[in-house]
Amino acid sequence: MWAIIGTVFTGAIISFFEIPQLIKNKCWREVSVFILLLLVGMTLSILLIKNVTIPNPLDWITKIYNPFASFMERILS
Amino acid sequence: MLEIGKISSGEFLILVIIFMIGGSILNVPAFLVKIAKQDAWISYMITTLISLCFVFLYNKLASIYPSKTYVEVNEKILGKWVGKISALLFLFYILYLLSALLYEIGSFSTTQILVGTPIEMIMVLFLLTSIIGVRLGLEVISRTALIFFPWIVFMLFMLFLLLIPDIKLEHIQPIFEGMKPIIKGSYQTLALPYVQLVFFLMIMPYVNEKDEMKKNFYRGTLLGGMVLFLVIIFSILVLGTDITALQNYPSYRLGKRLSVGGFLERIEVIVAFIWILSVYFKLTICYYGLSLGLAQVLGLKNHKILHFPLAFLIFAFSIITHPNTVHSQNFTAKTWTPFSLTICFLLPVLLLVIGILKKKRSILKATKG
Repeated sequence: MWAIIGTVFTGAIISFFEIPQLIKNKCWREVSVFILLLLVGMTLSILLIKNVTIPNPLDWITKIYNPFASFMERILS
Repeated sequence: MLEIGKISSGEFLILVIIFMIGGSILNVPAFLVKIAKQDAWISYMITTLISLCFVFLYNKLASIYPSKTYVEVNEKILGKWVGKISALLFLFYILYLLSALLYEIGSFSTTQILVGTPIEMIMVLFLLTSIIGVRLGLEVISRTALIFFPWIVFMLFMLFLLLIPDIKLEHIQPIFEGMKPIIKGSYQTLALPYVQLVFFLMIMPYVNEKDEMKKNFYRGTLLGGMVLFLVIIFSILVLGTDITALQNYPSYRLGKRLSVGGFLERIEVIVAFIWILSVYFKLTICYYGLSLGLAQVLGLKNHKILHFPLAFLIFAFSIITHPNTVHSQNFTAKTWTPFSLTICFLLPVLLLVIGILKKKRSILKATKG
């Protein structure tokens, strides 16, 4: 519980320091990118704290390259 | 302009060397010795020579548009949308590289130095230090590297010098046992770290003397490769192939053998110092390149705002991608090389060919018109 509160609190502090200046300069694109990235990062962190299994992108990459990797293995061994 | 800082070609050389050493010095010796046994050093020498071709490719690519970063070159050559997709692939690669580095230094510290400390804590501390560097900009990072570089050299020198009495030449005999393990070792280490050098296309536009910079790129690759080569051959000569292949961090084990006159013992932390410094600088410039590249892909005016959100992302990513050391080692052994070759070799070759054709056509048009 405390870890989640800490994560959200950190995110809030970061936004508190960064966003007002961006709004003052009317950089709407930056604001949206900032909020989107922060939300993605915080969601991932909270899911990790909750011990939810997140699909691992490396496993997909391994699957894609599996034919080539086993081909190289066969040649070189 | 997102970055107004300029660095000199000498600082670029030091960044290349530190980039080469950082991270790879941890895992290359054990990984390579497992495959090529006592011939691992021949294997690494071959890789270093092959890597000069990669550097040649990157230098050529840098000279098509000297004032543009890799991400911008992508968009310029491949068009807006295809370019953005290929740039995002490159950035995903850098993101993975960052998280792998973070995981590596975290797992090294928690298994060897700070046993019992949660790995997340070390990662957070490392990332926070890194953010300070990234926020200060490229100039500050490279000048800090300039300050710490003599220390790295001094400690490496100490390590090699003090190990000379422990060398046993019979450990590398018999030399040259079959060609296949050597070739396999060279293939597996192509991406550790040589093709990762494509990252330097992100900071090459900010280097002052372009001709000198290209020469220094070759020099840095050779010098960094030589340091790694020395680490590998010393691991074999001092520890022997069996112990080197069994260890997770053979160069740290190497440090445990250091002793000065029988009264100064257990000074392996000087080895850890080399790693922590070099991994720190590699992490920081990769982080810097990632935020700069992302800002350029998305068309932002300022890349400073991306630093903190990216820290969250890198941190989560480094925990997701590597649940444990076995998973990470399997990935490095099987998928890492083809994955890196696709992004760091095939894509740049494609870019280079299309870029040269485009330039020729525009010259033809100009002469006709």
